[in-house]
Amino acid sequence: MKKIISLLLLTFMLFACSRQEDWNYDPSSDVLSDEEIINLEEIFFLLNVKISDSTYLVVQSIDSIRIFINNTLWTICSSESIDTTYINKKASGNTWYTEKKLNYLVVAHKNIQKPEFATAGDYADYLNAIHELKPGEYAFLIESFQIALKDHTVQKYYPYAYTIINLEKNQRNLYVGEIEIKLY
Amino acid sequence: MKRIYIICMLAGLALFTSCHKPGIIQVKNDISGVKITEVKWGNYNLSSELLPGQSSQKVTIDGYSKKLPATNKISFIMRANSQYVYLETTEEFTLNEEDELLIILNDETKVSN
Repeated sequence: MKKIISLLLLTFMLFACSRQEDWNYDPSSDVLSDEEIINLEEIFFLLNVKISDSTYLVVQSIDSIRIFINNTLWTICSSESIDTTYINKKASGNTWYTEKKLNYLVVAHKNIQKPEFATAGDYADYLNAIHELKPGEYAFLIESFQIALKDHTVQKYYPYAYTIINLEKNQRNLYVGEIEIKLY
Repeated sequence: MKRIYIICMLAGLALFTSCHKPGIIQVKNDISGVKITEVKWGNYNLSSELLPGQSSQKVTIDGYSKKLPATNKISFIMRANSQYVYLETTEEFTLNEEDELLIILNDETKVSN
């Protein structure tokens, strides 16, 4: 009798655990692919922001960088943070600057909007968003970004900086190179 | 004697068929930008593939293999961009005897995996 009760309790616990996992449902685990293709998932590049011919912007990070591949939004991301206390910088108005070139590393993961997955339309949008970039050349655009100034106010810029990227077959990540943006 | 036997047989047959009237079921894919395959109502195959905007043929569910009225979910595989996912409607659809049921699957149709 005890054995049966223990067995029932164990079964109940097992089911209770599997129900809890439903809260963390990730539909991508249920989406299968017909083709064994590695899609581009990550683009990384070095970004420097010039505020004059010979000076570069110093901030902790460049935020809300809106990146497009051709005319499709790839992601909105921030650069990796840097510790600006180690940088030989000078103040000018509401910004810090340095005379040495300062690159910010940006790792831009492909962002697929995950809706609530309640309707057929949600799943259709999700499947259509997993668009595969075929090998070839694409326009890479930094549409806008924002930075926090010395007084902690946020300033948004629209550089519309284009560059061409070349994607090869089964390439999971891509280094774009160094991108220079002039704010003057 | 033979006549009574035939009458009884006919009456029995009439009674039998009157108890198993068929229903007709059809499904339409109005989900944006995806095709759906292996569309089923319960265990009944309705269509092997439906492109966006396409309707299946009218499928007759005879009353012999399935007692009507019957209620089932629609299950299907949604495909786009070489990716696919199995889905079924959360709503159940009831087919009554002599009914002609058109089920329209659209973007708002509630589904689960």
